[in-house]
Amino acid sequence: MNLRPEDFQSVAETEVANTAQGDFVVMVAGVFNYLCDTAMTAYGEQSAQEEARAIGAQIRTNSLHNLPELLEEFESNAVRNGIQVLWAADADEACKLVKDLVEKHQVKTITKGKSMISEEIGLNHFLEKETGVKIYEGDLGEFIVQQRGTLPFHIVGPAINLNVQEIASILQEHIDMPYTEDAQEIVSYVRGYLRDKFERADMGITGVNQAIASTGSLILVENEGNIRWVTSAPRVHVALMSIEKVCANYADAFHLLGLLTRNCTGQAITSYVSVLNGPRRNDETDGPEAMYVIIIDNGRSAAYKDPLLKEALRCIRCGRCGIQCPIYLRIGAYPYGWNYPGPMGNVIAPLIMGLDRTRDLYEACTLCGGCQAVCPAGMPHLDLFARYRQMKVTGNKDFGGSRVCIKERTGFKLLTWGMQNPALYKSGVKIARRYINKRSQDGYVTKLSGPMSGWFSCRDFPQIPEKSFRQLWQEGLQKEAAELASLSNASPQAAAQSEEG
Amino acid sequence: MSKVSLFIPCAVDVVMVSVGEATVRLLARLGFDLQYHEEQTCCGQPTITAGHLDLAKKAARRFISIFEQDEVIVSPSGSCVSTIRNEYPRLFADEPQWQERAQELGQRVYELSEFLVDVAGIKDVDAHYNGKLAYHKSCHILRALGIDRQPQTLLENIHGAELVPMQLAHECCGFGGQFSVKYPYISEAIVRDKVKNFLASEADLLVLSDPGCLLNIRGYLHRHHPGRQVKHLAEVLAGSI
Amino acid sequence: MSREMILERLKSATWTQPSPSRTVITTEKGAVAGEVQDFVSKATAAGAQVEEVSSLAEVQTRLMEILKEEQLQKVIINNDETVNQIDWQQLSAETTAEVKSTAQLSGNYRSYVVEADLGVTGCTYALAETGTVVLEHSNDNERLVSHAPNYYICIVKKDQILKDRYVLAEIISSSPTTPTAWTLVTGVSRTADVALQVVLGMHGPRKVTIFVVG
Repeated sequence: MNLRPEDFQSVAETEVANTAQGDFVVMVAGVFNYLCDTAMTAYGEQSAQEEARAIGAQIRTNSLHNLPELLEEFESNAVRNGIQVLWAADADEACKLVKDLVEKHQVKTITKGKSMISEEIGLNHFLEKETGVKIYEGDLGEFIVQQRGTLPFHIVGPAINLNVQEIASILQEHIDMPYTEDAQEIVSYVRGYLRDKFERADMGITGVNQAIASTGSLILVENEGNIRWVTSAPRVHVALMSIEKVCANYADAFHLLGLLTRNCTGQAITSYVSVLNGPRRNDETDGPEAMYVIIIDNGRSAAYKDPLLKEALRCIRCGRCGIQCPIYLRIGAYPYGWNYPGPMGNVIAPLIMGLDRTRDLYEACTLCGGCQAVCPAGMPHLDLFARYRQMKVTGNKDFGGSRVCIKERTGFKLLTWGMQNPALYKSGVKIARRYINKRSQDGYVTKLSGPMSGWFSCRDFPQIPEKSFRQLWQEGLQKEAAELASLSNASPQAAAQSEEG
Repeated sequence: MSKVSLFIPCAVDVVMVSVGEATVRLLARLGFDLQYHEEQTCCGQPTITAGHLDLAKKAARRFISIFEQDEVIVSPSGSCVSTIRNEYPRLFADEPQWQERAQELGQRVYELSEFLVDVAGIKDVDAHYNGKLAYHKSCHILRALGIDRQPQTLLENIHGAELVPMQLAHECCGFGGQFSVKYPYISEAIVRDKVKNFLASEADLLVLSDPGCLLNIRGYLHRHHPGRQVKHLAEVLAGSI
Repeated sequence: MSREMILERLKSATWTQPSPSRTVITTEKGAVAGEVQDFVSKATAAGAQVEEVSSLAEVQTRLMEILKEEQLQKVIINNDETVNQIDWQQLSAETTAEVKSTAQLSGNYRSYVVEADLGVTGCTYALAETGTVVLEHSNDNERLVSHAPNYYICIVKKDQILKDRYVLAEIISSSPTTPTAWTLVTGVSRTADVALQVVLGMHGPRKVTIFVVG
């Protein structure tokens, strides 16, 4: 399944027709919202929860304002502890760096913790093609998706849209699992299947939830336990992080992680939190001999120069925004065409993939604000979407945006002209009224061709009243209002009981 | 009594005229001295949403000039009030003088329920309705303006009416302006669920405070559930049902 | 070089305001004690079996019972002061279990730990806020001892229980030495990736027992 954001419209139209999936996803979102709301009460009442989120936002503000310094401090401390820090300008360079490490360390098998950045750069595909190395995703959801060859459906649950029959079939086909619909049995089988891969892998690859500048440490969170394996058993550990994943110290990191887990799965903390300070010491057995962190830019530093665009780097990847989004819940992940579906991805996709390619990502949005309202990192989703639309209108070479099409621009120019000139406005209304009402039956229009035709796919439009409000006001409503008001002021009771005059 | 300047959204002026009439009658009955600037047209929201800021500024300057002498401005539309209060100052981020005028004006523009409850201190307008009401929380009203308690207070005080809970009342209705035309199949999925939740609430009438939502849901109901009704808050409070 | 390019780009941004204080959260100094009951209820809610006992002697008795009930064959223990106070020889002698300490295993450690049925460790701290045990790793506390076996037992002393993660942050931050790694373990390994059904024991221990002693 090779999905691209350019195909948004056609894929979305197909996906939204799958109403069973949509209903299921909406139901699941409801459950997770309930769990997350409950988890957030650990901070206290509504105002205390808002404060906890505000502190999260402040921590991210801090990180962004001090980003280069924090990255340098992280690097310096990490290196002092024996971690090798590498930098990659783009996806291509990041993949090549990993490939070099695979070759340097003669790696045959790789086990992975769930890493969104590794999917962003297309690492698995690159490594399998270029090196013949065998890669095993350790996270069960990612493992299932890997077998199926599709994009993950949601950051929390990559395979959340698959029912148990589909999962059982996939595992039966790809890893010879005896068909069973019992979740416990499925889990046991995969556990057994991956167990010796974990034990014998040469290299482990993970992402990073937060990098701590003051100590050069990495923090990784998980529930399944694959990250602990991936960072304990293999002789090499490669951690991938995008440039914005750094914070000043442990207290800030732990606060962010609390917000992350509470808004992701509704947990105060995940089953495991790994705090990694360096490769293993000489007298230890578990832990990597060689540990690398690859800091990946991939379009982010270019966005950083702009004070609004840099806000797109706030994200802590909790995914809470997604389960509010009325669009994402109904179209699912696939139309977005990359690995961060929904609002979480929409805020940054235009900066990484270009405005033209990702047009639907910032336009297929009602600006409802549900995402922004729950974000624990202070992400201004709506401001960013508004900015991308503005950048589309004027064109923006830096971020791959050509100017808006003439038709749309002309349409809005006409509209504005009408707004500036009441006489024009009234004529416009007259023309619209005649056009629309000619096609109406029993007070409603059921179909119109032309640019407005989309409205009628599921809705009717009312006939336009013969007289506008303005006309009614001029022709009697104003007088009526004055009379009603004076009645009311003379006798409040009379006013309350009077019907329309 | 106090003077109120009416900000009637273009969609109400042209299409949902009854919402404008209801707003007038409601406020007049409560004793307010109403003023309506006949030269008003549109606040420019569609141009802002679509990113045509240069065009939006034209509409904004005109709007500000028309209304800035008024003490109190009231509108039956959350999205339009949000445009003035939240969007205009940002629109003029690079023009400090206009920005100041916009900010100043924004403090005096109110959504209808916000005006009645918070400014005029009126919670009971002596409206009557026999039946169950469900309330849809329009995005701009709830999230952009932070207005929630006020419309519900007014609804709860309607004599004879029972305000019943509705699942996902805070979820968008799928209108989103141009969204409903550009992505009709997604818009349909969202409004379908909104209506599903309305029907499941067993309310006789759905009430909301934004003309955009009204147009959207009413249009859908008329196509799919012809007997079922949705009304603007002003219409319910003015008793024009 | 990419490093220089990235850093230069970041440093050239003109809107940044260096913050007066680089950290946002202020934490309480010192080891603020956590409520034992909070720890017990949170750890239980996370899926661990938590047993409050008054002494290590009781732990010894319970371990004897567990080894017999579960008929465990291979036990691995870390080289921990608390764990070493348990009479493992007695346990081994009177049950089917073979008990090895990481201190004894050296070269055979890895092959033993992946076969072990039970891993037992102490901990450095525990968090009342979340029912978490905090493991500090070193050659005395190898990482897989608490992760590879199906069953993991942790012995927590009451005075190791801290109030919350912010207290832990303060302690780790101000510690003069840095261990190779810390792991915060809460409850059991779990997944909901099979059609949202929560299944315990994905890649980590399916069963966790915590003894709270003191």
